[in-house]
Amino acid sequence: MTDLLVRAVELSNPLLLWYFGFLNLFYGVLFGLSVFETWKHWVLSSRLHATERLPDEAFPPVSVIVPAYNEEPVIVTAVEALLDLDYPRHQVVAVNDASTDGTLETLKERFDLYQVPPAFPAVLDTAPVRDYYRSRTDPNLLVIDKMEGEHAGKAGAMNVGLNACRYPYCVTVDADTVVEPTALRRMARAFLLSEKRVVGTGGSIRVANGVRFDRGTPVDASVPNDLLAGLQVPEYFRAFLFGRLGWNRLGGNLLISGAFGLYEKQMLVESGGFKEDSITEDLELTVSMHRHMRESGESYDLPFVPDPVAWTQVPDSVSVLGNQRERWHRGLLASVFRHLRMFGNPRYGLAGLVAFPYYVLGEMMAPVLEVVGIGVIAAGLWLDVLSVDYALLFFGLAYGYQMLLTVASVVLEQLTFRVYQDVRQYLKLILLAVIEPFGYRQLTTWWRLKAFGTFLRDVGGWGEMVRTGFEETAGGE
Amino acid sequence: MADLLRTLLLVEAGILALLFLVLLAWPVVVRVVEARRARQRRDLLAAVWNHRPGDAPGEVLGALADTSPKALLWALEAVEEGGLEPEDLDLDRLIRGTPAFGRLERAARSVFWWRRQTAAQLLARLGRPESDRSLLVSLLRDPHPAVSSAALLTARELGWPGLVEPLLDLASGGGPATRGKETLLRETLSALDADVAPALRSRLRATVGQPEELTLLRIAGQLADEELLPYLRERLRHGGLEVRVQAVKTVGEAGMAGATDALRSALQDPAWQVRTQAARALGELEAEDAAGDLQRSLSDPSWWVRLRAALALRRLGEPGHELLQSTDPGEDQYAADMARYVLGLEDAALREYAR
Repeated sequence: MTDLLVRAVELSNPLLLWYFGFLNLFYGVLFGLSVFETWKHWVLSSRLHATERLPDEAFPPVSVIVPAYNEEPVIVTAVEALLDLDYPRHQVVAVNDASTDGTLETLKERFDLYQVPPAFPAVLDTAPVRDYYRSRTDPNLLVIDKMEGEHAGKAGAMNVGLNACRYPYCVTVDADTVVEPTALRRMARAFLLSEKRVVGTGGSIRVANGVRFDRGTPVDASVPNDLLAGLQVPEYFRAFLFGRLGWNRLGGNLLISGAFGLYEKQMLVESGGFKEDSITEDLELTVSMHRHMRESGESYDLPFVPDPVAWTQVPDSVSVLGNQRERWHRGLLASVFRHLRMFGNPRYGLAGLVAFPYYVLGEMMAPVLEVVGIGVIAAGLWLDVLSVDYALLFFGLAYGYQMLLTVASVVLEQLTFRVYQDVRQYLKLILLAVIEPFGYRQLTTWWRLKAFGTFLRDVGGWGEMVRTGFEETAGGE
Repeated sequence: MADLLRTLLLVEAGILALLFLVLLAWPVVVRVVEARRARQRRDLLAAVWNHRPGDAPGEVLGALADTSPKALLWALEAVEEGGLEPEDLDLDRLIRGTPAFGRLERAARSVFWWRRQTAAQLLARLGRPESDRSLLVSLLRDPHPAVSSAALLTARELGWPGLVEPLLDLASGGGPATRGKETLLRETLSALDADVAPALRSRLRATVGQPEELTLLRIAGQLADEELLPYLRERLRHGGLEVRVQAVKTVGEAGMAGATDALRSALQDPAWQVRTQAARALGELEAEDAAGDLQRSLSDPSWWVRLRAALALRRLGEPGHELLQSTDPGEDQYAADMARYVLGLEDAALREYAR
């Protein structure tokens, strides 16, 4: 038995080392590419001549869809911020997803809503709608009230909104997300500069906890005092600045965040809208779009633009964060299995050859392989196959590299967009980037591992996100 | 293996240390650079404010002009902010013939797009039609959209008639590839209105069925040139859907005499996209003589045509209202539903639809 275990450790250890080495080498390449992309966008955003002085007509009109389920504390702030966006032509479509609280009444009162007949062409099959409302104070606001008891998740609500969008581009925004006033104009840069058909584009998401806003603009960007929320700040930097920008260069950004993403309406309709049976509808949609465009053979672009920023409330309790991360990973598993034919398939270009395999091996399997790796090293130590010196070096290298990538993302942000300028906040951010690999990373690995269990048992849902309202965190917006 | 891991760990620690150094030093670097720029700007503004027409150019301004094209651009912007026209400063003498202007020409041919963009921006302030046209044309044709967009903005500001043909050349081969460039191209050409119309007519005569038609038609929409109507009528019978849709939009935008008749006939087009645009354009022109045609379009099989026809009738005032109110649900439920929807809209919502 011991011989068998020794043999297993001797065989698996080099395999794991190869996996570890290859994945980290790839991270290094991705980071190198993201440095180039961040710098490019920073130069573009700081040289406003080309985009800020363009005539309004150059910007495509967009419809902003805000699904809202029990969002009474935040809905008015969110809709006001969206109506105030500095953009030449946009409408806001708020969908009350059969809320059981006062979401609709709050909207009716604040925006002086009046009922209009249901006169919208239904391009997608959706749950029934009870009423449509327009606003006397803000003519570019449309509120849709879904039938009571028809709450079917965010994707269903967004499809209802999609049917009523009148413009050729749609932006999806979560009700707990504040979009900076100039974000939409910056996001449209992709359409102004790209020579291909831009079927969608995403912007950066940052942590809103502890930040005060004045009509959508953060007045003092600060890192949350809460440790759990604070640890997500460098994590979001890593995900957006390093991860997604790097993929821009590799032509395979497989995720445009649903909390703030812009899509071509025709493309959304052709892809069948948001998948109501998916719990990570944004990932599912982005992968479907790649697949659809590759199969149609048309040249397209799905870029990520780093400087349009939306601020979102992140969970500050372990159980809510755990639910969120478990759900994200479960959604990743579902999307991977649904589109498995893309894996390594040259028909899907770089998305199939590089991005999809990375999502399978580098994202989906990472928690499993991380735990297996720890197990193999522990077994190696116990069986005297590996030395303590080797184990310490390995863990030092692995977690040190994690820290290096996080710190490098913070450096990238500070050299370019510099959101956190106050010295105290800045030092807090560095400290969080240093401690993030110890404890927090292991927690997220555990939550992602749990997703395999719930996915295989086919259980789980969205979980509850407790809204505190921007007024409380924003202090007087 | 342990040796390799040890070496990698040392490299990793070295990079981390370097990153921390950058993180700690960066705020200091930013502050020093910002303070230096603020000082330069303050000195420059003082020089500009103390300047009087006829004076020799201030030393500070001269020094800045001599540094780089970007600094030169910054200096000129400060001159304008200071309330002086560049002509007051006798810029020809200050900049032309100095190394600064030579650097501008080199920047226009640089391999770095941001330097070419600066050159395009500088030309808006320093360009002379007789000597700099070819430089600007080369920037207009630049493959980087940020550079060619800047050159288009410069062309719009300069408004040289000699740019009409190069600008129309840009519209050929399917037109500019980005939305921003195409909008700018149209705006620039419409600023040169009188010079553009004859050139555009001759191009429209020569390009039936060519890919550049769409861009040329969009340009035509911004020129209210009566003589373009025959060319547009011809496009309303074109085999390509996109061309017909654009021709209807152009007729509506230009609003020349005879536009209503052309649009009324477009309401019979087999494609709903053309009929929708025709109904919309008739509404924008407030064409009362098309009320009957619009009322018939309330029964169109397409939802979009019905919406635009109802909105157009609503814009006609009392006669349109009466026609909308007279729709009979027993006769056509769809037409009556649409009429009820549009009649129920408040003015603010109608204005929103009209945008």
